[in-house]
Amino acid sequence: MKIARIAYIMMAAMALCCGCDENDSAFTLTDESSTPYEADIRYIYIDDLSILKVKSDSVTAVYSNSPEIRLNVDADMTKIAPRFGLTKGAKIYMVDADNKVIGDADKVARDFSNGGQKYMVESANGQSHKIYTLSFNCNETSTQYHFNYVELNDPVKKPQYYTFSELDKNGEYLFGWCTANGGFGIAKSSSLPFDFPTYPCRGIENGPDTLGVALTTRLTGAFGKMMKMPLAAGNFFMGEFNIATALKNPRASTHFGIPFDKKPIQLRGWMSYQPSDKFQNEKSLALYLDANGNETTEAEGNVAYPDSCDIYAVLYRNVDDEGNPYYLDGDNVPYSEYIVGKASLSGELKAGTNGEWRYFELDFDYDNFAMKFDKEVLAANGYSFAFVASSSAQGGFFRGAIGSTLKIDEIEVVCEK
Amino acid sequence: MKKIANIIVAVLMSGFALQVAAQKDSPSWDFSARVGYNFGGTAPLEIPEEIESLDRYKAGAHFGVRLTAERRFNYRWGLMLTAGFEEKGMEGYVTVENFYTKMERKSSETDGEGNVTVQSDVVTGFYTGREYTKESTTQIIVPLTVRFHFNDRFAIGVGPQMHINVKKTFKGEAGNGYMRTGEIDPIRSDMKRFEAMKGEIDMANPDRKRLEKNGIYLVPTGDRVDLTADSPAEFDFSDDMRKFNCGAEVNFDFKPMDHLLVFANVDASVGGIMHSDFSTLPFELHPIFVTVGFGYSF
Repeated sequence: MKIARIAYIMMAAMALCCGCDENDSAFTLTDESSTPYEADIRYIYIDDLSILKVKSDSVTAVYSNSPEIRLNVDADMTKIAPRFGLTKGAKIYMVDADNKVIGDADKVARDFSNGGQKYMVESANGQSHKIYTLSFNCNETSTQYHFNYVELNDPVKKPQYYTFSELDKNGEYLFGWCTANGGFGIAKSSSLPFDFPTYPCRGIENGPDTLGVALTTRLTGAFGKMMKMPLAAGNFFMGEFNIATALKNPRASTHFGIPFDKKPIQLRGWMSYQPSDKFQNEKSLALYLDANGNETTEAEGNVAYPDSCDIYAVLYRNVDDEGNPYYLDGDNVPYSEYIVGKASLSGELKAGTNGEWRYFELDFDYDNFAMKFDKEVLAANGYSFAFVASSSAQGGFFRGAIGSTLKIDEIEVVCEK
Repeated sequence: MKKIANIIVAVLMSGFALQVAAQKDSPSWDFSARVGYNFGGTAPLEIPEEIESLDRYKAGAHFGVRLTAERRFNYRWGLMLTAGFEEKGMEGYVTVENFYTKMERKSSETDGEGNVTVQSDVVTGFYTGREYTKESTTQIIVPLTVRFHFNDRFAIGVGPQMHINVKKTFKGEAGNGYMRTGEIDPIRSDMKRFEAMKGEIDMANPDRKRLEKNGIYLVPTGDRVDLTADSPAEFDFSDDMRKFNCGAEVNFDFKPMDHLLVFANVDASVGGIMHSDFSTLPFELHPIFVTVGFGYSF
């Protein structure tokens, strides 16, 4: 009996030891989460609305260390005094080309007429520093895209990937293109520049320059798989890419569009598409089509699921009904009620050109949208325009054929005079 | 805690109340079979500054059996050899801040001709947020302890132990947090030195300690990647755990009755739980486990 009693006491003691717990952490992830080691410009505020192309740009969220804000064509760039929203507790200084501090930066006017100016942010604990180059762009909106300038993202950072920008005839910078290469690089750090989903290629014969853009649907490796994003379609667009949300909400990370003051009527240019037959779904399962045209994971007696590319351009209202800034992203672009016009590739070319360059002309459709085009809104820079290309049309949902390659070159937006 | 203290006092008192048997001084053998409950954890020897708080700890249900053979040289001294088959483990949530970590994953791709290429990808950066870890080992443990007997009821032992992990698990997830890639601080760092060294530094996977020795500082100002609680980044370092490890044991026996014994022991290991070339965590983790249980003394 005594043994039983002592055994019972022992069991009770064990049970007590089993459950020491329940003191939940105060940490909750928000966009504002930060530590005293971080040194970011989160927002740039422009108080002089008269110089801005789009009024909603008075607050610009910063996603890279070289932010660019669009100004009116006739804006005075010699005296702009931006305000900065920083990581909690951080301080910002103006610095010269050699990163030497010139003075405090907030609300201090600087001359941006000869290009970008450098700023240095110091973290709350003084241990971290980060350099930013802020520039303003008052160029007229371009309508011809040559894809004529590429460079590597950063000579120091790894992995290295290509970034694309548009230069005018005199070699002057016009604007930069966006890709999701940055997000891919985090998942697949072993990649070389040409292993990325978006990279430069040889353009069309007899073009004004030798470069074109190639987009290839790639596997994202072990990390991509772990994050339930097994593949990345090559993508290329106008706008911004928010790398912070790339793994959280990849479609919403692609912000499409830049302000546009012309009415586009046609999208034309050159494309080449070679789809691959290695189509897989979001679970990395190979997909096939059966005799009835239904998708199946059964290979026997079925054909490869056909991949298709995507090329389109949209014009949309860049302010919502409440007057807040609005932009299209990978999530809302299929159904957004703010779209007024769209031109998109369809039919034969979408399915593939056997890797041959083909010329296409796509007319803008302004009839099949609930929101109607309004000249006054256009004149007030109330519309934004986006050109988007992808090597797998369903790539945003992690469905596509590994190796499908789309190339584009010499794209032009024909606008109403 | 008070409850536990009361129980311990009660057990001790009942022991003293028992009659002390007559001393015997001739050499002899003692054998026992024991079952025990294991709790404890694997922890760094010093709490690193990156760990903000331990939010939840669960010892879990981990049991083991032990057989002991003790050679009593005389009434006071003996040498005890133990063979145990035990499962040890823990689960815990911690909140970390700027926790510099390196995760490596291998993936293989098969091309049209069936050639397989294996690539190794590394995500390196500073993680801030919550982390969940589940660790367990099933081990064969062999402690050899020198024993001192206070009387017929109480004995204490100390000595080395070694163990082989037949099953090992170290996995978890990082979610509700964010990772920032490291960048070179351009103001604090010796940039001339950095320019000179640049060619030999793999910036996707930089050796932070080596950089700091050269006056080059890696700071969490790079790209930020959010990891939500719903889609955490999972990790599994089970294969990086050591199979063989050794350390020390302290044990304590109490015999309330002739054949019943109640015991407690502490096992700690000298080596960390991971292979020495494992660099994902910025510090070594050492297992320290307590076993409490009872047994039958033959």
